[in-house]
Amino acid sequence: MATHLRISKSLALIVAVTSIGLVVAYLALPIIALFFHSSPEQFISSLTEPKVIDALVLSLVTSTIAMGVIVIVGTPAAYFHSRMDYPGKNIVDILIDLPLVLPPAVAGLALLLLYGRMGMFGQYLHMFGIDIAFTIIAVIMAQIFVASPFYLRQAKALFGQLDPSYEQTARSLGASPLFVFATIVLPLTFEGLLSGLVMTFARALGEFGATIMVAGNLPGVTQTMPLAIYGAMQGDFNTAITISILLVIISFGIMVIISILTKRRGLLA
Amino acid sequence: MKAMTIKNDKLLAGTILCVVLCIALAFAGCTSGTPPQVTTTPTPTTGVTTPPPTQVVTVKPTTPAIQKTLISFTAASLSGASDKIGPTFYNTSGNTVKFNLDGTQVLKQQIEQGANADLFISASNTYTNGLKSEGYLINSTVKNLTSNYIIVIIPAGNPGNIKSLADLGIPGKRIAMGTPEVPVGVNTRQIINKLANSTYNKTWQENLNKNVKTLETTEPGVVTKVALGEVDAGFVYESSYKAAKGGTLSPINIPVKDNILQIYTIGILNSTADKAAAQNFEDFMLSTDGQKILSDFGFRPYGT
Repeated sequence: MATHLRISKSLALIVAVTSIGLVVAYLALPIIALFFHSSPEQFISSLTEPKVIDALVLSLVTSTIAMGVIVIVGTPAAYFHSRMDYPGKNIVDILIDLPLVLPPAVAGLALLLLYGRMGMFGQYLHMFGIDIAFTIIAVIMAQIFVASPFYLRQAKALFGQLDPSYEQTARSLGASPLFVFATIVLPLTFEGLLSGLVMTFARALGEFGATIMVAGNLPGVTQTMPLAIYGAMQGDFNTAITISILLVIISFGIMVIISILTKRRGLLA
Repeated sequence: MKAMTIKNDKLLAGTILCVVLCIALAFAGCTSGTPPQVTTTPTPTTGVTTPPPTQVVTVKPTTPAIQKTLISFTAASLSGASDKIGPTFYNTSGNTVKFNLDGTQVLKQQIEQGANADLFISASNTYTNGLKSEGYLINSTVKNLTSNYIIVIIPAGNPGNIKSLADLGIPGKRIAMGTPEVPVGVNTRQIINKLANSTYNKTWQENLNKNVKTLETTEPGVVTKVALGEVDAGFVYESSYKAAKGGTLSPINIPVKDNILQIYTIGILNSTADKAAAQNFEDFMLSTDGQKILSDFGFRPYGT
C-alpha cells in the first residue's frame, strides 16, 4: 500500500515536472530565440531608425486614445448594463464578446465596408469631406473594435459583483448618481478596472489584422509596430527583430503590472 | 419566475436579432441598389476579383496514377493567371502544381528561411539574382518568362477626377502603390522619378508622394484598393488592367520612355524533390501553351 502510494507520488512528480517544463520551454524558447538573434549593439542602432521611432510613437498614441475612448464610453455602458435589465441584454452580452472570437481580418474588412469611402456609412461621411479609411482614425477604430471586450467584460463583471445596497443607501441619503459612482463604485472596483484597461491597451498595441485591412500600411501615418514588423520582414530583418523585442518588453511589463494589480486586489478582498 | 424571465429574455432577444438582421438586409439591398449621390457616376462594382496573395491553387487529381505535385513560389501579380495555369498544366502533363502566391520579396525571404519548393517565379531580376548568388536556385534553369509595364489605374466613376499623370500631383488626391520592397513598388518609384525629371517637376513628385495613402506588399493589393474605390489611383502592372473586367477600371498610360519593362523569371530551386517534373513545368510555361495563358492575362512576351 505504502509503496503504491510512493510510486504514484513519484509518478505525479515526474508528470508535473515534465508537463510544466514543456509548457515553460514551449512558451519561453521562441522569445529567447528573438533575443539571441540580435546583438545589443544592433538593437540600439536600429532603435534610433526613424521607421522604428515612428511606429513606436504611433502605436503608443493610438493605443492610448483607443483606451481612452473605451474607458469613457465603456465604463457607463458596463455599469448600466450590469445594473439594468432590458430586453435583448443577452444579445448585447454576445456582441460585447464577439470581437474576442472574430478574426481581426474579418473585423477590418467589415470596418472598411462600413467606413470606407464607398462604404455603407463612409460614403455619406465622404460627402462632408470626412475620410476615415487609411487614416490614423481608422487605426484607432480598429483598435477600439478588437480591444474593447477586454475592458467591457472586466467592468461588467466587477459592477455585477458589487452589492447594489451600498449605492442604494447612498442614494437614499441624497447623494447624486455621479457622486455615488465616484465615491463608492469606483474605489471598490478600481484595481480590477485598471487591470482590464491594461489588457485593453496591450491588445490595441498588438493589433495587426484589422488595422492593415482598414487603415492600410503607411510608415509614419498608419504603420503601427506590428505592421512595421511585417513590413520590415520583407526588407530589413534586424529592424523587424528590434521592434519585436520592444513589443516583448512592453507586453512583459504590462503582465507584471497586471499581476501586481490583481495581487493587491486579492489582499484587499 | 426566474425561468420565465430567462425564457422571455431569449424570446425577446431572438425577436430583436431578427429585426436587426432584417434592417441590415434591407440596408444592404438599398446601398447596393442605389448609387451614392456624391458624384454623377455609378457605384463602382468591385468587379476585379484579385485572389488573396497567399492563395494556394490546388488542382485535384482525378486519377490515382503516379502523378507528382509541384510547389511553385510565384509572384502575386500572377494570381489571376495561376488559376488557369494549374488546370491546363494538369491536363497536359497529369502533374499538379500548387502556387504559393505572394510578393516576390516575401517569397525570397521564405526561401532563405528554409521553405521547400520546386520553382521560383519572380517579378524581379534583383531578387532572382539574389537567390542565384546565394545558391538557392539551379542557375542554369533560370529563364526569362514574361514581362510587364507599369500603368496607373483609376476606379470606375473616377472619384478623384484624375485625367492625367499631372493630376496625381494635385494635393488631396488618394494614391495606392507598392512598398519599396515589392517589385511593383520598386519600379513605381523609379518611374515617378523619371517622370519628375522628364515631364513634371520635384513639386509634382513631392505632392504625389504626400498623396500616397497606403503601401501594399503585393501588386494585387494595390489593384484591390483601387477596385474598391478607396483610392483615386494606383500604380499597378499593365496585365492587371488588361485582365480586369471591362468597365471596372480605366487606365492612364505611362510613356514608354519613362516606363520600365519588368522581366519575370522562372527557375528551379535546389530544394526541389523532383527536378525532372519541375523542368517539365518550366518547359510548359515557356511553351506556346504557357505563353498563351500569360498573354491572355495581359502579360507581354519576355522578348519585347
